[in-house]
Amino acid sequence: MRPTARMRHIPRMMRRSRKKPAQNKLAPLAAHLTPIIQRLRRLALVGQGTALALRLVALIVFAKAAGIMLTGGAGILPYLSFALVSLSGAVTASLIAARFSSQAEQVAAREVIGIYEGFAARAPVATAADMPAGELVMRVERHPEACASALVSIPNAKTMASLGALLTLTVIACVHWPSAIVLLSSLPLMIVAMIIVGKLTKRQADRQEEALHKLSARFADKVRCLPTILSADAVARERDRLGDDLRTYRDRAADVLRFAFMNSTVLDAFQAIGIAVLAISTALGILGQPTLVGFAGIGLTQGLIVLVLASEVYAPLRKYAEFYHKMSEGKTALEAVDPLVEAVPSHDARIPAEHFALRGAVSSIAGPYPDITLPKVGLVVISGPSGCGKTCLLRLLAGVEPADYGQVFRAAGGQAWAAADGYLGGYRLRDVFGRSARDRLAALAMQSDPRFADGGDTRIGLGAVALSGGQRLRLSVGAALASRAQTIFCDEPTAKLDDFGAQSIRDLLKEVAQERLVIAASHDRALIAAADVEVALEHRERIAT
Amino acid sequence: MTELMRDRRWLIALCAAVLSAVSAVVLVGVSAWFLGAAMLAAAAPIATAWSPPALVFAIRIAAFLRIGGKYTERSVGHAAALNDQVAHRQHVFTQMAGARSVRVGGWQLARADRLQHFISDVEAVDFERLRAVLPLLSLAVVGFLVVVATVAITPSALFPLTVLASVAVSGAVVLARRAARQTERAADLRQIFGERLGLAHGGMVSLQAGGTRRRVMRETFGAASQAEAVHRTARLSLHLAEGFLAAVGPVCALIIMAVGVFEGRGGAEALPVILVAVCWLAAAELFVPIARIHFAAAEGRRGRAALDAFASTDEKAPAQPAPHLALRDVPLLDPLGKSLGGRITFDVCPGAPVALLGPSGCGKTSLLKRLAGWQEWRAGPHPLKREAIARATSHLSLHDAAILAGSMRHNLFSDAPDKDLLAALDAVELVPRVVEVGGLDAEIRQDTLSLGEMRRVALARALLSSKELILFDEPGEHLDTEQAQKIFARVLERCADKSIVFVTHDEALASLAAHVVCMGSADPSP
Repeated sequence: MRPTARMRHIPRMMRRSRKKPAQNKLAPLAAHLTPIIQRLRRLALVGQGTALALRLVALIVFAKAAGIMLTGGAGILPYLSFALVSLSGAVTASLIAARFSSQAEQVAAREVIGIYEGFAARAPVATAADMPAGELVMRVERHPEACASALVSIPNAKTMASLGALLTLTVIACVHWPSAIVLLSSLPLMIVAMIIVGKLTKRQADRQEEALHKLSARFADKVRCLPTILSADAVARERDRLGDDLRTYRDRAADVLRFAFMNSTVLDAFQAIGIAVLAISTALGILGQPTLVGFAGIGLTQGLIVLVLASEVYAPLRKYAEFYHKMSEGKTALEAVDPLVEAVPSHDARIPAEHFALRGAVSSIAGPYPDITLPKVGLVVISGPSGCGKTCLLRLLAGVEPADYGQVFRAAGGQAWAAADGYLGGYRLRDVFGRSARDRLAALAMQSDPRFADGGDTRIGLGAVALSGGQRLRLSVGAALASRAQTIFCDEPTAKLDDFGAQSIRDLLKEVAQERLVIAASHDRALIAAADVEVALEHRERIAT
Repeated sequence: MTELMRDRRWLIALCAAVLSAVSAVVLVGVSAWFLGAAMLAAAAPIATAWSPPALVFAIRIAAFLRIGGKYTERSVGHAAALNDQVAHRQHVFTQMAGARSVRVGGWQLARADRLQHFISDVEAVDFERLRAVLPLLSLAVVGFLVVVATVAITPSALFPLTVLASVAVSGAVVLARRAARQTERAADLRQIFGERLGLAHGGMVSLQAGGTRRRVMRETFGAASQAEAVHRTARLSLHLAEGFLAAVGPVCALIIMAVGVFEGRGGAEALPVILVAVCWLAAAELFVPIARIHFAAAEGRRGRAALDAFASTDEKAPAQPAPHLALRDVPLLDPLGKSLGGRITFDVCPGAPVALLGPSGCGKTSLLKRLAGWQEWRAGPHPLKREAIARATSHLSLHDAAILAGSMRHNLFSDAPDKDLLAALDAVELVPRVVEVGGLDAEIRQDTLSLGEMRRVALARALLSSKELILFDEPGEHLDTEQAQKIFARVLERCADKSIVFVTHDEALASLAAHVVCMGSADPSP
C-alpha cells in the first residue's frame, strides 16, 4: 500500500514545483504574513469604503440642497446639516482606516526588519559579509516600507480603485443613467491609454534607474575618495567629471518624467473632459437643446448631483495611479527580500571532529587543507606566505566559515577572536579588562599612552575609530585574553606594531597559552619561533578570483 | 523667491501651475453656473447676460488649460529641478572637498550609510522648490481668487470661513511640524543604525568567532525597528493633517450655502452663492497638499542645515617654490590636538629627504598632516605661514589612498603624456599589472587592486605631482621590505629636486633618507 501512496504524492509535488516560480514569487515573505496583517488590512479597506460612501452621500445631499435653493424652495438647512454630519463621518472613517492601514504596515515592516536581522545575525558570514554594508543599510531603510505598502496599501488602493469607481458609477446611474453611460464609456479608453503610457514609462524608468545607480555609485565613489582627491589636488577635475554624469542622469530622468506625467495627464484629461461634456450636455439638455441622447429633460438637481459626483469616479483611479511608482518599488523589494529568508541556515552544519582537530577539510575559497591535530592548551601558529589561506584556515577553525567537506572541531569552553578589524568599543576599559585595567594596559605596552591616561575609566567609542590600527589590535587582543574563553583566535596579532609592541603581545600570548589554546595566523617569525605547534601552509594558487 | 523669478524654466512652471489650479476651479465653477443659469432660463425665458455658446467655450477652454497647465507644470518644473540639481550637486561636492572635516582624520562620509543620508539631504534641498514652493504659490493665487469671490458675493460668510480655515490650516501645520520632527528623529535613529551596522558588518568575523553576533545584531536592528516606528508615526500625522484639510473645502461650501439660506437668497439670487460654494468645493483639492508642502519645506530646511556642516572653509592661496622648512621644538599631538608629550626639531630642504621614524601612535602621521596643512598646526605660525599655503604647496601621499572607479589614467590625476605616466608606473613596478587589467584606459575599481598595488598607485601619483613639497605617510605599507626599499629608493631619486618628508616605522626604509629623525617611543617604559 505504502509505495502507491508515495507514488501518488510525487506527481502532485512535481506539479507544484513546476508552478511555483511563475505563480508565487513572494512565497517566503507571504508565508510570514500573519493573519493579523490580513485582518488589519481588511478593516482598513472597510474604513476606506465607508468613508467613500459617506462622502458620496454628503455630495449628493449638497447637490440636492443647491437644487432646492436654485428653485427657490425652503427647508434647506436640514439637508446642509445632514451633509455636514456625513462629511464628518467620512473624515472619521478615513482616519480610522489610515490607522488600521498603518498598523498593518507596521506589522509587515517589522517582519521585514526581522528577516534582515536574521540574515545579518545568522546567515553564513561569507554570505552576509558579501553584501556591502552600505547596501544592507540602504535595504533596511527602504525595504520594510516598500514591502509593507506592497502587502497592505497597494492591494487596498487597487480594490478601492475598482470598488470606488463602480460604486460612484452605480449611484450616478441611479440618479441619471445616460450620464453613467457617458462616464462608463470613458473608462475602458482611459485604462487602455494608461496601460500604454505605463508600458512606455516602465521602459524609460528602467533606463533612469540604471542612470541613477551609476550616478549614485560615482558620487559615492568620489565622496569616499575625497581625501585622496584632495591630496592629489584634483577637486576641479572630479567636479567636471561629476557634472558630466549628472547631466546624463538629468536627461534620462527628464525622458522618464515626460512619460510618467503623461500617465496622470491621461487621467486629468478624462476627468476634465468628462466634467466638461457632462456640464455642457446637462445644461443644453435643461435648455431644451440636447446634444446627447438621454439628456433631454434632465432636472437641475439630477444635473448637479452628476456633476459633483463625476470627479469622484476618477478620484480612486487617480489615487491608484499615484501608487504606480511605489508598486514597482514594492515588487522589487519583495523579490529582494525573499532570497534572504532562505539564506539563513536552520542549524550548524559543522560535523564535529572527535578531537581538537581538522580532518579532510576543504574550503570553497582556499581549497583542501592538511589534517591538523591541536593540543588542548598551547600556542599554535598558522604560518605561510601571503595568499596561502592562513586567515581562511583560522576562520574555518573558528567556525566562521563552513568547510565544504571534512570535519572541524568545535571549540569547548567558549572562544574569542582578536584582530585589527575586530568589532570593539562602546564600553569603558574597566567593563572589559576588569579592575586590573592598568596592569592589562601595561601588558599590552599601552600604559603610558596619553589616550589611555584614565585607565579603567577610559571610554572607547563604538568602533574605536579614534585609535590607530596598532592600538585597536592591541585592545582587541587584550579583550580576548581578558575574556574567559578557552580558545582564542588571533589574526595577525603582531602586524601594524613596532618591535616593542609586538614583543609585548608575543609575551602575553605565550603566557596565556599555558592555560588556554591560542591559535594565531601570522607571518611574524618571532611569533612562529615561540609557537608550541606550527601549522605551515604552502603557497598555492588562489582558486576563486 | 526672486531667484525663482529669474530662472525662465521655473517661471514657466510657476505660471503653468497657477494657470492649471485656476482653471480647475473655473471649470467646476463655470459648469455649475451654466447649469444653474440654464435651469433659471428654462423656468423663465428671459433675456440674460450670458450666451450658452460662450459658456460652452469657457468650459472647454478651462478643461484644456487645466490638463495642459498641469502637464507643463510637472514636466517643466521637474526639468528645472533636475537642472538645479546638476549645479547644486557640483557645488556641494566642491564645498565638501573644501571642508575641514575631510582633511581632519576620521572621514565620515567614506562610509556608505552616511553617504545615503547625505544624498537624501541633498535631495530634500533639490526638490524643495518643486514640492513646497510651487504648490504653495498656486494655492495662494487660487485661494486669493476664491476669497475675492466670496467677499464679493457672500461677505458675511467670510468670518466663519476664516475661523474654520485658520483652525484647520494651523492644525495641519502643527501636525506637519510634528511629522517633520519625527522624521528628523527617525533619520537620527537610522544614522545610529547605519553606524552600528557598518561596524558590526565590518567586524562580523570577530562577532561570529566570539559568539556575540546575534546579540550585537539584535541591538543594532533594534534601532532600525525604532526608526521605522517613528517614521510611521510621522506619516500617520501627515495623513491626519491631510484628512482634516480634505474636509475644509466641502465644509466651506456648506457654510456658504447656509449663509445664503440665512440671507434668504433663492432662485436667481442663489446662483452666485452656489457658484462660490462649488468653487470652494473644487479648491478643496488644493488645500490637501498644505501639510505636505509644510513638511517638504521643513525637510528642505533640515537638509540645508545638514549640508551646511560641509561648508567649505577653504581659502585660495599661492603655492610656494621648493621650500626650506626649519621646524624647531614642535610639539607632537594626536589628531584631536591633545599633546602626546614629545617635541621634535628638524630641517627640510630640497634634495635632502627627511625620515620621521617612530612607533605607532607617537604622532608621526598627525605631524605630517599638520605640515601638509590638513590639520591645524597648533604650535605658533605654520612653517609655511598659513595652512592654506601649505595645502597649495604640498602633495600628501596617504598610506590609505583610495582608488576611484575609472581608468588608471584617471586615477593618476595627471595630464602628463602617456610616456611620463608609464615611466611613473614603471618606477613603482606597476606596468605589468596595468597591462594585465587592459592598459591605461581600462576600468579599474578599488577591489581590482591589492593593498600593496594601491599603495604603489599613490606613490606614482606623488611622482607625477607638480608640487614642490612631497609628504609620504608610510610609503612602505602593504609592501614587503625589499620591494618597498627598491621602489622608494627610485621614488626619492626621481624627486631629487623636491623637498621630501616621510614617516615610517621601518628602519631600513628610513635609512634611505638624508636625515633620520627618531621620534622616540610613546611608551618610554623599558
